[in-house]
Amino acid sequence: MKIKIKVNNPIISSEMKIRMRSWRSPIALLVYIFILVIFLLIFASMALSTMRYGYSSADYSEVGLVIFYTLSIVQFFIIVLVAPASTAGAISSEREKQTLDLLLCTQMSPAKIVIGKLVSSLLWILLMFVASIPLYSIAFLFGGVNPMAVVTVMLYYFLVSLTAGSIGLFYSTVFKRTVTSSIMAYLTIFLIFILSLVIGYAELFFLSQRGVYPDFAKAFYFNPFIAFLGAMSIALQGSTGSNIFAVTSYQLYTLVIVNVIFLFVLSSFSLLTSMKRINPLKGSKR
Amino acid sequence: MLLKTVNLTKYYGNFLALDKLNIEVREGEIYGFVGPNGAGKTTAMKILACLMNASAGEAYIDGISIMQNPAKAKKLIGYMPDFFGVYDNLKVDEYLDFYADAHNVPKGERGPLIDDLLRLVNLADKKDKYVDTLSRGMKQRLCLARSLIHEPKLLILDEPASGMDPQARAEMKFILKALKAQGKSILISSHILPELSEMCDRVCILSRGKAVVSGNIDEIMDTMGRRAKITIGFLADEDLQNGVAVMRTNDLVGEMVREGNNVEAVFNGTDEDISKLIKAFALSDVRIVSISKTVQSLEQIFLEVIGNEN
Ligand SMILES: Nc1ncnc2c1ncn2[C@@H]1O[C@H](COP(=O)(O)OP(=O)(O)OP(=O)(O)O)[C@@H](O)[C@H]1O
Ligand SMILES: [Mg+2]
Repeated sequence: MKIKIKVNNPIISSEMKIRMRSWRSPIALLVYIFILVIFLLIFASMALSTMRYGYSSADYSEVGLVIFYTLSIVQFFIIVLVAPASTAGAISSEREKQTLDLLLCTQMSPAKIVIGKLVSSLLWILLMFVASIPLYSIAFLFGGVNPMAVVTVMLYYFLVSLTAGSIGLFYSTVFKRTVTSSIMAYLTIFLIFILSLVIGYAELFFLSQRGVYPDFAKAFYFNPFIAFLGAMSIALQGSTGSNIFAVTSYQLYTLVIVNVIFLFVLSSFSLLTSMKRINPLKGSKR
Repeated sequence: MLLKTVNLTKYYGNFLALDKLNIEVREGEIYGFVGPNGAGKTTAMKILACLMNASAGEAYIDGISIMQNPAKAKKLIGYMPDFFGVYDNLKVDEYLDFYADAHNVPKGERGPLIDDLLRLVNLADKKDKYVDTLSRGMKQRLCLARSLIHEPKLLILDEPASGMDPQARAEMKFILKALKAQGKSILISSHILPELSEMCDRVCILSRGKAVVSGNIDEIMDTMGRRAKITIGFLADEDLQNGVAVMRTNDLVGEMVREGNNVEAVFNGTDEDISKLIKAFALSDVRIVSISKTVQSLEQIFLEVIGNEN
């Protein structure tokens, strides 16, 4: 069976062409891999140096896990930093360059324009993930990691970059300047991370005052990083039985599911609002 | 009738930018929008290009309502805005290919179409150049080619020659005439009436959002009155005094200015009326030594029309 994927979006094909042409793209990718390798070397050597004498396979799998977590966590934050920046100029740069009207008077709908901008940015980030996959093979060499964990990590990356990218895109329809929309996108994402933590700890604190000690605060469900750690934990349970948080696996699943829904809602809202915002004939049909 | 607007009105907040505009553009004609800065030309054109909602009124292109069916209307309209930019890192043919794709032009048709358009706008030799390296005039011609990429019936061109040197303007005019010969209809704006009057079949003079006059140039001249200035030289001071008295009794004579033994007067009549005036001088024994007539230019009429509105 031959599946033919037809990318019928001029923005995607054109931006890919421009990206491929630029000498910056391969260099950025190299720098990215280089950063990952540096982190990997630091943490792997630390793990190796704390290894006891008389190596057992359990010790090696410990190193494998350290490598896996290092790679995954470092990449997670790079993605959170790169995704909003790559979309924050999507619409505002069209406004700055005075090309948006030219695009809007074609047969492309606002939805198609927004999707085209988002996908062409995300494809680039996808390329970053794919380039990092060979590094994971080092973790497999030591053991302790299963392929399911890598798949989970990749899916979460996709979801997080979709959300962060959508937020950047949304602000690029609000502000005329790319700088402003980047700053606002970072601020929003930063607030999501920080507020869910702060509120979560406040929640735990107030509950403890009343003598209640839950394992987990509800507000933590909305923290993408905590949920990311939870998702990795679920995926690794099969191979190591380890669990980062001292919670039941029911709670772990709730954490991940609530967070996934939250991220989907957030990105859908951002994208739908963006489509509405660039539609010059919004609220028409008099 | 290719394009028809019915009481097209636009408010920006409380500000009335377009007041019940009614125009009709026929198939195969060049229709000019003339008006000073802020007259509402761009506003009207953006509404017609489906880039802005009207506050009231309707517009139809080829019988299709622009308000009810913008997607279909856009297929028939090619729009060139007054200000626009280009993407960096794209070559001329890639630039056109991108917009062809955005207009759903089938891939197989794009190549020859792009070649034809580049030839039309005289950029065939720039096909492999990057768009951002082109000069301003070239970019404007490229943008014109872009607006033609989906073979629209009506072109809406918002000051396509602004910022061009005289030679480039002439070239643009030549291209537009060629397009007209191909059967395209063109709605074009400018704030210079004489520039448009040469190539437009009909024009509409806009001022403060209102259409002041419209029609072909001759009709506009008629509506505004074929005003001329006449200068009469009198032999002596007494002739001048008597002459002025004669002219005061003539309704067609407007404001008079004396200069030595000459009087310069605004005259609202035809040549026949001038000969009657000369006869009246003779009957009153006014001795005149010279008489000359200068017709007011289109530009002066235009300025007067606009002046009366303000
Ligand atoms: N987005 C807007 N918000 C508020 N007022 C506007 C807006 N766009 C235009 N106007 C006002 O509407 C009036 C008409 O503007 P428009 O741009 O249509 O004029 P124009 O005839 O194209 O002028 P120009 O020759 O300078 O291009 C102007 O007074 C302008 O200030
Ligand atoms: Mg204008």
